[in-house]
Amino acid sequence: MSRAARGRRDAADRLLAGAVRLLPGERRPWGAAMRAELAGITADGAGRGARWSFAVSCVRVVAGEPAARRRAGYPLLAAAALATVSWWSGSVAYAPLRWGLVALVTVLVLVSSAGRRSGLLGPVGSGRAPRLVRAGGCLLVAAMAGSVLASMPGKGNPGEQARVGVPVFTVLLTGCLVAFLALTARRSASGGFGLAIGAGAGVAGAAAWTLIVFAAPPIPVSLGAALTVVVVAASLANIVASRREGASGQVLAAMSAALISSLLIVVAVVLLAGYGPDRLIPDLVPAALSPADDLANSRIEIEDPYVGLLAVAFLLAVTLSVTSLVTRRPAAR
Amino acid sequence: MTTRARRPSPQTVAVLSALAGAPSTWRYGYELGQEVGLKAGSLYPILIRLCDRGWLEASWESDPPVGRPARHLYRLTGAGRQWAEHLPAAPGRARPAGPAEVRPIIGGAW
Repeated sequence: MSRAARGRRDAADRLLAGAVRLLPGERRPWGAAMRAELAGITADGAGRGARWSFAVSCVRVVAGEPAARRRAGYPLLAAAALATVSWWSGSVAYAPLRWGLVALVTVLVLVSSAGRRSGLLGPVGSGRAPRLVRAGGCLLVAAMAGSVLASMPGKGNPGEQARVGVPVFTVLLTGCLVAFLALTARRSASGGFGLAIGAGAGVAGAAAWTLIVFAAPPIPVSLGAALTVVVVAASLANIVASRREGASGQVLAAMSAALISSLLIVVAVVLLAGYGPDRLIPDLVPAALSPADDLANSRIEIEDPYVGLLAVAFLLAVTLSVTSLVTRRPAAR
Repeated sequence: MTTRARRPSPQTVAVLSALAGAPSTWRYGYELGQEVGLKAGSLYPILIRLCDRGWLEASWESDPPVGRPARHLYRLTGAGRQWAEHLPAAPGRARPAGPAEVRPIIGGAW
């Protein structure tokens, strides 16, 4: 083996060096072992092919590590989200609204990336429940952000949307995202059981509300039924969580059930108002020009009362975030 | 962590056999892979798993030549040797082979 071939940094080594950087700490020595082996393979003649073959094969090993895939996948996903919204926002004519919407997505991406690092919001707790609840919460917030992005440019005065709508939704969605991250962080006082119960009760509450709407249409104009469902979901989560969770875990389960059911009811209202059958839509514009105009405007109007529920969800999110941070377990030494 | 014994794959058996052939000798990955005909993509997951289960010990080369980083070296632990001795002779099980004998690549590890 020639000296020049030993330990040289060629493209194969750079590829492998980049890949092994994605390995979690406990697997790093294996990455160093692969690089050391690669350094021992000559780069002369047929050896060049052997180096590439070895390096690519080692990259396959790294790609097989779930932690490495997550480490590479999340930044790529974040970059893809930012690139997509930057490209899409080119269709928004009013510049302040365009950049406001890009800023909204940027803030959400930055906050979610804080959930990957050690600190107040991360990393995610071990086990299936924290990962599932966190993924579900992030997807819910992302879906709501997508809905805001899709609807805001064509709705109302662009100047007002940029001045009021975008900041309000940025604060609101960020608050919900922070709540989901803080709740599911490794040091959260909520155990896997409490998280599962909170999420399950929240989803069940929203499902129950939707069934009630289908069984006894139309969508209620007041928030009474929705708030009742939210309170019942929170109470049930609190009671069930008491079997295995401490006082903090019970409170967190109840609050997460309330937050999730509130958000899902708002999502259900938006979906039903947009795509639900006509019988679910209350007549909110009696003075409309035609029945079709009445229905179209009523579909828009029915969302308004539920902005109040969104405000309730935001307050719950803030309270849940603060409670999660105050009650979190001490850091492991 | 549980270390449930399950039927090892032919590739794992080949690696264990190669290591059991010279149990006191420290082996390095590339040479081992050439001997049993496994690419790194199949060999390293096997080595990692064997180490995780305590059947393989790893060490760094103490005196590497100038210009080359120290290699990771492997050999079976006492438990690994015992386990290797009691392995059923699976169909297609690789014999401990010399470095010159390069076997064809077997797909999928473990």
